[in-house]
Amino acid sequence: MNDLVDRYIWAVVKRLPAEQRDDVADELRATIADMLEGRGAGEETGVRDVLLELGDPAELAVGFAGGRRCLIGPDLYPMYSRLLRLLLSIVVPIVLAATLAEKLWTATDGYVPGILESVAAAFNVGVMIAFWVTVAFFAIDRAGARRSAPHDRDRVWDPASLPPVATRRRITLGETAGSLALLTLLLVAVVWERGHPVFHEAGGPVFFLDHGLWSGWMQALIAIVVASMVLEVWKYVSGHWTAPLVVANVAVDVLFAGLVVAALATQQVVDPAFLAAFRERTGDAFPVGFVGGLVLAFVIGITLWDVVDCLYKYLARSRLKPARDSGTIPRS
Amino acid sequence: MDEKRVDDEILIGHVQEIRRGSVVLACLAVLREPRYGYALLGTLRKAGIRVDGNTLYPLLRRLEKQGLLTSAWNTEDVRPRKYYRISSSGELLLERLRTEWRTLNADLERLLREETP
Repeated sequence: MNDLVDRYIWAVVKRLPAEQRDDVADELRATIADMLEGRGAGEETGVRDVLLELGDPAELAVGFAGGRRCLIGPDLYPMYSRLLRLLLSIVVPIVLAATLAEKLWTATDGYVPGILESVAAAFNVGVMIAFWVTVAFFAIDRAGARRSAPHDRDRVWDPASLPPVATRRRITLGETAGSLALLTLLLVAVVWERGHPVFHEAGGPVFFLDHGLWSGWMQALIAIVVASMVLEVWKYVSGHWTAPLVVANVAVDVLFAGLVVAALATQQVVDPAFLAAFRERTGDAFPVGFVGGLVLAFVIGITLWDVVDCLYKYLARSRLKPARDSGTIPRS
Repeated sequence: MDEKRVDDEILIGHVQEIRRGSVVLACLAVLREPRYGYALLGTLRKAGIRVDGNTLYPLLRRLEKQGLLTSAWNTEDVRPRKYYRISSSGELLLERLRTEWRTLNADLERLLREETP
């Protein structure tokens, strides 16, 4: 019909979900034609006036699309921004310091390349943290797991559900940031190992871990670590242990321990080429069994402790609940 | 600042606020006859209901999504047009909104008569 009209319609529908586009475009085209006809004006000035009447295509698209148009809603945003800032301020300097130390220690051709590489590594880790924390908050925002949702239409708000004044958070920002930092470092370590061989043999680089694990085991580990990160954020947003949180936490714990145990039991975790190279260089055998046992004991210990810890905290809280709800406002 | 004058922007904002909800009522009432967007706009304007196209067209889709309107493409016109028509649940809602509107109007009228000199 008219180039300007086509451009206008495209400017509207490109902002809409794909399944809505054709229908809205067809209707808009018919409407614009009707409006032009109604004015009886000349093509050029007519089109301009009609489009001016319909207004900014971005605003029109907002009307058509409806629904949520933000990644993280105002309920969660303050927590999101605090947690992200704290996490970045902890992890990025650690990564920067650690890589700087490693690069400068092993530097052979001046310090500049090492410094540049360290800055790049720290930047990458920062981007990774920002990405996953955003994904986690986005998921929780969409799932609607808000700590207090006075404007949640499905729930009847009860004054008794008001939190006590100045009560300390059960799950603190520091705790959450610490856990997220550890999980991030684990992710970084797993990915880092893949590109950093221990030895360079004639046959090529020798890695510590058997890279056959990347046939799905490592991906599963990464998925579980990411799930743990989402869980940490969920926990922080809730402010205390709830029944669904405990269930999810135990599930992720068991999955993690199960994966490590299954990998140790059924897979060649340490690369045989590494074992051979190690024996050749040091004359001793690498204590595979001992290290494996240590990792196993560590993982099972951590898992048991975490399961017991979350169950204990949850039960302690539910026992406390009646007293808290009927309690008086503390003077402080 | 002159306190006797009402700021135009504030005035427009409040007038729009009053009119906003009434557009749905007017749409449902008029759409007992199937109409396409532009024709509906004309009918509403002729009836004195001031509404912009960029408010009305998205509104029609929202009402359709809520099941209050049904729509069908008519290809026999000079150009294919999407006709909207009130659904049975739309009829029920219209009935409720009409009652609501009349009660509100009566209450406000009484209030304004009593309170304004």
